[in-house]
Amino acid sequence: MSFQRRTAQMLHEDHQATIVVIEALDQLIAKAKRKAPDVNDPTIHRTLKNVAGAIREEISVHFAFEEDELFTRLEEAGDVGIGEHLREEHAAILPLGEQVSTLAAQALETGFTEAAWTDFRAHAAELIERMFAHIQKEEMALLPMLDDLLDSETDMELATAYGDNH
Amino acid sequence: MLGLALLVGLGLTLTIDYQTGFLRDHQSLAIAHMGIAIFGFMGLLVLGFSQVLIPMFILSAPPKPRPGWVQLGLALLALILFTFGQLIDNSMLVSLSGISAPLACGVYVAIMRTALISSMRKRHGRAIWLIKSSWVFLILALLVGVVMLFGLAVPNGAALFGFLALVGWLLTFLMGVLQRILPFLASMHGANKGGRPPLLSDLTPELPLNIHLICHYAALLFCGAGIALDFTYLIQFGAIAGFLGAVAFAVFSGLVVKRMSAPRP
Repeated sequence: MSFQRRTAQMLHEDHQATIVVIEALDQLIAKAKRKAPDVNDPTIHRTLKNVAGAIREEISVHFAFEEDELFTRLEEAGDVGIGEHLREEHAAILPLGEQVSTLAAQALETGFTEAAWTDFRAHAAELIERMFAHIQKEEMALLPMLDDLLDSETDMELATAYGDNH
Repeated sequence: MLGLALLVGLGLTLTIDYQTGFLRDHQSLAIAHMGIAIFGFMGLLVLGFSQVLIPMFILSAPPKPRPGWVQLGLALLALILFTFGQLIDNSMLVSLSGISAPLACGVYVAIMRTALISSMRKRHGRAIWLIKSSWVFLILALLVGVVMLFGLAVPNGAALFGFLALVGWLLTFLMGVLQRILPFLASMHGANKGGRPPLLSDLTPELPLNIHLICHYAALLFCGAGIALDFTYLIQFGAIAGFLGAVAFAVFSGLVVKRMSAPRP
């Protein structure tokens, strides 16, 4: 998909990158089921490394940008509902993402015990579900709105600022 | 909307004709009315919404615009040829629609297949299975229709065509879309109530949907076979299965609403 506004396009590319990580996590859980996987397996190791490194940083920067720069502009334009709803989802996803990142990092150090795997699986499953639903809403509702919400100058400023922070 | 207006207009005309008998050829108008209802109104809605909903459900790239326009053009051509062919009793026009319609279907299925291939999600779930199977029934319906258009005999052809198109294609597609979209919309409308937003899985009761899936496919199988074989008991059995599936879906819908209203942790 390509958007007219550079800001929307950058957020879309973020979403795509996040989906790759989340989908790999989903595959990991689906394959391993209840049995703790071997963290030394290259695919599993790579997935956990991406989760430990990318999730926390990506979503915190991404979410902060949306809340500070986009939702505020939507609210000023009179559209309060979508911002409120997405903020609520951010508040649920962010601590979950941090927790899953921490558990993934721990697993990379020491491997998974059965209890640790059960805990990781539960949190990761919730994160996966929330992230997919959240990204769907942003792709279908938020990003197309930016084409009308942002003028060229504002779009350039925001895209530059977001790129510098990324 | 134009399709809806046309079918309503034709429907009213047919209704008046039952009372007054002013039409020269009631049957041809009725067939045109059916074609517009299934393909002109509902069919075009499905083709259009598919371009948006399917990529959204499976997180794939939206379709490129050009194939969508080609698909629309072929579908409209088929509709125009069929409708005018029926109204002016021109078999050549009707036969040409039997070429344009499968081409439109082919482009549609190709667009959807591309979306599935580019999907970033590996596991799509039950709803997408229903939607994919609806495409099979669209192809089967058009196959029956085209065979009949070219004068070949199909056992209970008209009834079989109608069943495959309405129930096999349109209803199956609708059921797939609804079971994905209802919890999604419920999660949006259940927002801003404090606490964590509900998970889609929390809003989606699985058992009624599993029952619906089994009953829906059983209904399609037994009713379709019963129509083709002219065997009433099969149709009746299929109707019971379909009814039970409908009840299960109604239960699913009610539970989504109930869960949406429940207090959140």
